Amino acid sequence: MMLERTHVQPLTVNSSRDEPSTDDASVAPKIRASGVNVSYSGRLAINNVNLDIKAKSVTALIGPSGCGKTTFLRCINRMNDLIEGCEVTGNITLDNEDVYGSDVDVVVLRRRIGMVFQKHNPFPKSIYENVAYGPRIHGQATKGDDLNQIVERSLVRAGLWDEVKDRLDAPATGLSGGQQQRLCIARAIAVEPDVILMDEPCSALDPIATARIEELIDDLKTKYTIVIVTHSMQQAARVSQRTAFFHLGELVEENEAKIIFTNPSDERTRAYVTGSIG
Amino acid sequence: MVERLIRAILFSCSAVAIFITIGIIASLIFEALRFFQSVSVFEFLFGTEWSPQTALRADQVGASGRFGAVPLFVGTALISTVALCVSAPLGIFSAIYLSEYASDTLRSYVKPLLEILAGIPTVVYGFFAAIVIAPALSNLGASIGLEVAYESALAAGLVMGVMIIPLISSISDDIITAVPDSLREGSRGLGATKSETIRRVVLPAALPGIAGGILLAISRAVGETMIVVMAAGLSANLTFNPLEAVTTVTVQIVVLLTGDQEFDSSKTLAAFALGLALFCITMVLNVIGSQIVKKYREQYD
Amino acid sequence: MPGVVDRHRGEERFRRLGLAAIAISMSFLAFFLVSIIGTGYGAFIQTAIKIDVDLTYQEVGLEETFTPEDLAGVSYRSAVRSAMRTLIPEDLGRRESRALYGLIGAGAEFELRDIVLAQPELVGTITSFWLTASDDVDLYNKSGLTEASAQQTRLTDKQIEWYSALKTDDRIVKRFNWTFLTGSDSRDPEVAGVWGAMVGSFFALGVCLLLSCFVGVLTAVYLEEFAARNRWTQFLEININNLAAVPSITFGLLGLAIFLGFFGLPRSASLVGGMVLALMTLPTVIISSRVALQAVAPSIREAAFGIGASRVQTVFHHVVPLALPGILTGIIIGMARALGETAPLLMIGMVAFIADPPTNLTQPASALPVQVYLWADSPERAFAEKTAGAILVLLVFLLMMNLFAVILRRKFEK
Repeated sequence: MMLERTHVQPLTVNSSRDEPSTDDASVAPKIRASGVNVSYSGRLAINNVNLDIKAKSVTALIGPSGCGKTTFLRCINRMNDLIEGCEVTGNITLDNEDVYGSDVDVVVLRRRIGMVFQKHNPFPKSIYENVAYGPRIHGQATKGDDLNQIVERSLVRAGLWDEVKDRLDAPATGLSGGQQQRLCIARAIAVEPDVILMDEPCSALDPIATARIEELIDDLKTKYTIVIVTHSMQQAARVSQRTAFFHLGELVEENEAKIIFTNPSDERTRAYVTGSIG
Repeated sequence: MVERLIRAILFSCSAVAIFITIGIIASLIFEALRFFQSVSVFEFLFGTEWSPQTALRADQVGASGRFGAVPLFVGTALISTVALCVSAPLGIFSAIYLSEYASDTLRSYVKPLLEILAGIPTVVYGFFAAIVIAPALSNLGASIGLEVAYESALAAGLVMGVMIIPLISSISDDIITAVPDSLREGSRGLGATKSETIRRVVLPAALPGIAGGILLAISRAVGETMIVVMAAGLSANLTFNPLEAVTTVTVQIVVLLTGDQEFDSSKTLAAFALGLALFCITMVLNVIGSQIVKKYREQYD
Repeated sequence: MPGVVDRHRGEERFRRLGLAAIAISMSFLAFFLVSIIGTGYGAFIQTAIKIDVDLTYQEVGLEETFTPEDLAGVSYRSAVRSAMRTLIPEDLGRRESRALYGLIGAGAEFELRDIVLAQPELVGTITSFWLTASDDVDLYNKSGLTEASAQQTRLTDKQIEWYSALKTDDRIVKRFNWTFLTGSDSRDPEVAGVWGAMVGSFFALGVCLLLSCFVGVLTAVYLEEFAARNRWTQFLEININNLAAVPSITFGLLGLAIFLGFFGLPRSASLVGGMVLALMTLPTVIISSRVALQAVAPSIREAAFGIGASRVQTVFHHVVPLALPGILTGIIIGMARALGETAPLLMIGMVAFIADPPTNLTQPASALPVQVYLWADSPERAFAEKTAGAILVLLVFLLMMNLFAVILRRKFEK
């Protein structure tokens, strides 16, 4: 019965996409987290996080390792549900709908909130099949021209089309690391999400590949809301409009990126961005 | 000095393994060659009539006995196929459940229980097949108007399949566990459900390795002796119908060698020719199978 | 477009499929054990009949001053038979008499003889003895005494009538069947036992243990601690792995051609059986010993070298003792497998009917799994329960060996 209701009231409708982008602070946030606590088997990992994430911009989550930034990211599309003993309390909304609501189907939710992982993880299939995977499982297109179009469009947006268009049937694992990560981004955008979560997407890549991904992120923000976790402050400074600093499981400070990096209000943030803690 | 002596002893021990292999190959080839002096290789490999009994009389050695091994090969294949039809789905699905769904507690109970299935001596399976399963199948067949032979390939294959379940499930379990979690997360992150992830990402990634495991299982089925000796037929019958009685390579080896007869009658020598064929087939299956399994067990390390 | 509802429904279906596979496999195991135990426990129970044997001097034909030889020469058969006749106060023809004698087991006269020889003071008295009933009476007595079970045994109506009379007279009991554990193979199910086969298995396993332990452990030590990584060791490794997967019957063929055919060792002997089993277990022992040796921390070796120990000293004084529990576990598991193996033993002729336990390694012997195979082939119905009983004995041994291995591993894992 619960699932039935979910179906009738689909989260898939993407209302905000065609509205003009705006920086106006009065516009409701795409994602709003309030009072979020996460514990793993009783051990508190993040504590009382309140954060608004704006639509069609890049928000970077920074902080020393183990500070809870990845944990928070994985709360947004409920990937933490997969971890046994993980408990999330508090409230997260996507377009004012409770992500943890009882009528929310994670399958539908994750279609709207795509994710790119730390280690590039293309499936051991062809390049084409990797991109086509999402549309196929969600039944957006199962074969023929529709699917071809989605695959091409996604690869073009991910900036990979020119490199792979002649070998779509080649195994994805044969690509270089950077290409594989861009393929994973293409795979994520093929299902037409609103939000893309990126968990240290460049940590396994060389500087040149990293630069390409950063360019890509910059392009993508015109269409998608992007939340990126990074351990590199330089990267956060380069790609994000707003930056949130996590420390010891708490959200210390969130503000426009240039303010965080030049004139943070919290002492801990200052210490971190100047390199004295880390 | 002592040091060198001990090294020499150790080295010669390790050479024993080589000698065993050489011993097997040499004895099989030597006796088989003697067999092929009286029966042509061609007749042995492609002949469809197997009736070694007539060669019992000393004055007729090799003259009237027929040594076409095709019915034995077909019988072996038939029983192995039945065994695989039982063990492959049960083994693979058990492995999927154990590696993807089961709690640690359930795993810790079920895995040793499956190991018990693997540890039961084959003669016990044979008894079970002959005394319990075969009559039951025969009666069941009769009740629905099907004629099921008392020594049907189905009964032997079914029980052999149960014996092989643990082999397939433990190899599949290893291979599925070796598929990295990052692939599962990638799929779940795209909104795939758990079973979609397993069916469309995990299994395709594990499939070649599982196939290697199945080759090893086939090798085990082909070389299995006691179940078929006790539950399968003794006389050659060229058929693909699992409800009929068929005989296998290993059954014939036992039948040919467990009577009282001279060591070098064609009958005895034929057993060695069959042994050679068995050795070659299982060897090829094992080498290919274990290479594949090894590769896919380690591919993401 | 597949609805989300359908997708979730498929979810549960798929999970249940996996669960069903496990349930089916487990129920095979359960069915299997239940039916073996259900059939086999009867082998440990036997039916006995109480008869009053007249051992007076006149009856057995002895003087009051008899020697042990005289006592051994008494016809216990006729003593048993006349005791049987006194049970039934009817005049019986020859055929009926034979049917009456058929109630008591074929071994009853020997049971009686053994008792009397042990207690010569019984001579001159009339004493009651519980003697083993025949296999047909035994089956009928254990089967619930229905019309149907009477038909399945070969008892005649008259015999069943006598049986009922004896039963109401409290002259029939069920008792633990020691004969099954102490006797050897016999054509008569009621006196057949597994002892002879157990001795054969014990001898063969002893030979197998000695050979495969010695060669196996030393090979593993050589490969792990001494050998350089080169083509030769690689070849050895591949070779050992392949041997581990060779069908067991092939080892029997090797034994037949080389041990019997070439070296002329005796057929059916437990010595050859043990040698063949050793060839088969060798790869298992080598592989598990290597794993155990690999698990020893390299720091132990460095420490020993550091105080000036030679390689041989290091390995045998320090590394091998530490790896010993693991090595032993591997050996036990190898032995358990050897104990259950049948096919190679058939090849070297260990399928003969052996009525006495072997007393040395070269005598013809049987083995426990071979006994199972032989009895499974016997036409007498009573042998079906003996077969299952022998399987139970075999399984108990295997269970004990595996438990021992598990305990060993648990104890040293800490």
